[in-house]
This record gives sequence, C-alpha cells and structure tokens, in this order.
Amino acid sequence: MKKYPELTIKEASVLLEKKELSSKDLTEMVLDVAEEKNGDINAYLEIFDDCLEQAEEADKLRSNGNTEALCGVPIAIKDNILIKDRRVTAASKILEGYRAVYDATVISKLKTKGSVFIGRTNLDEFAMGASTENSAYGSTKNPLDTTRVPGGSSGGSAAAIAMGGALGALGSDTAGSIRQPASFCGLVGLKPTYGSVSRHGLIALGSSLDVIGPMTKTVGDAEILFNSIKGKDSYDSTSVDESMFPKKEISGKPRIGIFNLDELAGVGAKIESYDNFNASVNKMRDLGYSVEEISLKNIKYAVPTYYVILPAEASSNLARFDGVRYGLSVDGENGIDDFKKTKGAGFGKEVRRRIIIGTYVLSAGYSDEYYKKALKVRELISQDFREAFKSVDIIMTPTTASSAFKLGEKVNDPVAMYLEDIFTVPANHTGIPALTVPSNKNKDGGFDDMPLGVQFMAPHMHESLLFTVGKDFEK
Amino acid sequence: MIDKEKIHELANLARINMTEEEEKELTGEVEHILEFVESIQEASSVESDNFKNTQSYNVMRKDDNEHNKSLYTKDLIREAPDKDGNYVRVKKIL
Repeated sequence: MKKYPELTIKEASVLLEKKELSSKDLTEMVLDVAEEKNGDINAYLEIFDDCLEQAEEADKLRSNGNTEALCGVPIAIKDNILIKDRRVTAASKILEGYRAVYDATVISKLKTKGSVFIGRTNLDEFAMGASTENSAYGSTKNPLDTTRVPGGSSGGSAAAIAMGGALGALGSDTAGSIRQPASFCGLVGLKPTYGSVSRHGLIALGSSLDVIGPMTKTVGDAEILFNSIKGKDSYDSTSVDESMFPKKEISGKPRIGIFNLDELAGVGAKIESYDNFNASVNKMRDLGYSVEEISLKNIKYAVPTYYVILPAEASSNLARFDGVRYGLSVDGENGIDDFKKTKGAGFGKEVRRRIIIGTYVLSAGYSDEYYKKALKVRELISQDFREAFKSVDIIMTPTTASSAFKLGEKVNDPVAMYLEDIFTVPANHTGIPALTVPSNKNKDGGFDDMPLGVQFMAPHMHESLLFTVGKDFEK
Repeated sequence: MIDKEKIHELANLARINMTEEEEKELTGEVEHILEFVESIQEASSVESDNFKNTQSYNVMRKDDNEHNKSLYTKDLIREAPDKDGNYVRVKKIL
C-alpha cells in the first residue's frame, strides 16, 4: 500500500469506506509530514491544533453511515477563505489578529461532508502575485526544489499537497492563481466557471474574475472536490445555476483547438514550454482527438487588459480595510489620518502598487482611456473564444510559459511577474472553466525535470468535459 | 506622464501613508506598468461600443427574509479594533 500522504483522495476514501483506515490515522500521518516539513517549506501559515478531533468526528460520521468521498479526508484551505472563529489573514498584516465571524459557503459545504481541515495556507498578499513571495509572512518554497517558487497566489495550497501535508486543497483563481501553482508543483488545478462556486466568504480581489476551485493530485480528485463545493448560493448573487448556459452537443470525441503561439509575439514572455506542449498535442492526436488551429487574435492583450481591470476592482475592494472594522488599526491625528496610517502600515508593496494603479485608471479623465477601454478589449477577447468554440469543443494551451522559477528571480520586476498569467488569464476574462494537468510526468508518475502543465479550456459550465479529457490525457 | 506629485496625490486619494522614498520608487514602477498596459489602445474598437458582457443580467430580490435582529452583532463587534459595548468607536468627523 502507498504511504498515506501519497494517497489520492479517491484512494483514501476507498480505504476509509472499507474501514481499512481511520480518518484519525490518516490525519495523524498527514499532520506528521506537515509539521515536519512546514518549517522549511512554509506552506501553512497555521496548522490547526484540532485536526485529530475533526478526524474523530469524521470517523463517527462514517460509522453513522456518511459515505461522502471527502468524509475524513485532510484538506488544506487557502488563507483568503473564511472558517468561522479561525484566524484569516489573506497573508496581509492588515488582517493580523482577525478571526472570521462566519463560514464561507465552500467551507460549510465541506464541513457537512466531513472534511478535515489541516490548516490555512500561505498566498501572495490578497492573492496578488504569481510566486507566493508577496506574503507578509514569508515566501513559500517549492517542495520539489526548495530554491524555486511554488507559483502563486495559491502557492501554499499547492506546496501543502506536494510536500504530503494534505490530500487536496482549495485555492482561488483570479488570473491563474490555482492553475500556475498547481502546474509548478506537479498537480492538477481547476479554475471553475465564473459563478459556478459561491464566493461568499472569499476575501475579494477582482470581483468580476475571482473564483474558488480545487487543487489535487489527479483529475478524478479535482472532480470530487469541485462537485462538493459548486452550486448557486443565495449569499452570492453572482453565483449561477448550470442551466444558465447552453449545453454543447458533442458527438464522438471532443474536437481540440490550438492557437498559433506566434499570436503572442511581442508580448515579452519567453515561451519555454513549447516543445513539451507540442508533445502533449501529439499525445491527444494519438488518443484519437482531432486537433485544429483556431485564431485568438486578441489574446495578446489579455495580460495588459487584466492589469487595468484587476487594479481597478482591487483598489475598490480593498478600500474596506480601514482599521475600523477589522484587524490592524493604527492611531493617527484624526479619522482620515487613522486610515492612512493603518493602510500605510498594513498593506505590502505589491498591494500598494496595485491600489495606486487602480486609483489612477479609475480617476477622472483617465477612466475612459484605461478602464472602459479595457472592458471593451475584454469583450473582444471573449468574442474570440465564443467564435473558436463554434468549431472546437476544447482549447488547449500550455499552462505556463516555463516551469517554476527561482526564488527572488522576478520579485523586483512586476511586469515579468504579470506575464506569468499569459496563458491562464483569458479564462478569467471570459469566465470559462480551465483545467491544468501535469504534462511531463515520467512513466513512474514522478518528474525528471521541474513540472510543466497543459491547460484545457471549455465553454461555460462544461467542467465535466474537462474532467473527461483531462483523465484521458492523464492516463 | 506620472511624476512623484501624481503618486503623492493618488496615495492621498487611496488613503495610504507613504514615505517620500517609496513615492519616488513607485513613480518609476507605475510608469513602467502603465507603458505595459498602453498596448490595449491598439486593440480594435470595432463593435466595442457594445462592450457589456452578453452573459450579464440583473439579479433582483425582495427586501425580505430578514434574519433575527442582532444575530451577528456580537461576533461582528468582537472583531472591531476599538469598541464600546455594542458600538464601534471612531474618531469624531466634524
């Protein structure tokens, strides 16, 4: 039998169901690994001290007939998702000491199923970043090579799984924050359809883009976790039913579309994953999929468009952290000075940068030139995708331009860091689901080089199609 | 286009205290980021007047089903940095 921390969710749930393994034993094994490795990796900001009690509860639920796959399964939670009465920081000093007053909807769903929460995972402050180096509580290291970043912003969630300290995790994805770290750590990550998962209890970054999703070892596990958290929620008016979008009629094998990567020429990102991607495309052909070229002529504007829309939304969302209602409060000469001193002391560098950009692009005289123009270009990008999905069912791209970079390599070059999102951000602009699956595993299931991923995108609410194709690719 | 005074003004609008040194550093960085996003200006504007996402729709609900009064008050007040009984204390505004 595999050592417990290497188990997938599916394997663990079979053992739990057959009573060959108790959640308490499984949780203990996972905790041992998490506690041993966290000092070096810094995946967790906090490992909860009641994990074994949670596991005992889950074991009771199982004895009482709970057959949920996730019952008793140890899961890590990104620290921008609220768990009632536990601390939550979004990796920012400004939320230091704050305790959540309610459960996020995804958390209450997982609690009902009997999941065990191991801890809160590190992230780039307020999910702004692609390396987890922007955390106010120190960088997270990539467990596969500790001189490299785990990606971000859900880098702690990815590292927690990759080091064996959780069987699965929740992350959030605004431009690639689930998919890029999953890819960098050799994992599967799903950015679900915008609105398919409730964001009630997710600390907001870019409200027209944010979505919560699963990070796991296999596509099957991502499916289990996604099906457990999805659904319309009366607490989130942007959540929607599946029926909101038309179901695509697919006869036979789904058709795959790829776009000419030269369409990204001039954007400034060096695409090193090209050969691996071509090999992945050939693998799909060998599996009997038809592959045709599509045009996404506005995709080169996806990152610049994002860096107008996101700062605009983030600067609005983050205005609430004023030292009055939550966390940090620094005393000033008057009310306004309190705000300034609190934000001055509480927000880190990248957060301030984006708030300033957001304030600029929304300010009088500039909003037409930047913000409104960006919304128009976003629509052009969406049109390209709608057009492409008339002739294909799946769009396939590399997940990232390269594998995990070195700690410190890009941290002082914001634009280089922003270009990390080049393949992932279009799915956030358009709201479609996107799945990353490791694409350079060796025949033993490990990695000879740092991991790379391939990304599959489907029309709105077609996650099940992604799972089917992803499982085929994973074989 | 962006100078230190502009950054100072924006920081003031966003209510963030910054040192002069930081304002200076941000000036270059923000300039660089704005140059980067400038490329969206070349994107075609055809049909772009109709930029509203076609999937957008209004969500309306009746203003009813109120939860019990003060159900969450204690928990919410608990987290405020400065409080007095069931009130959050702030400095006087006028």
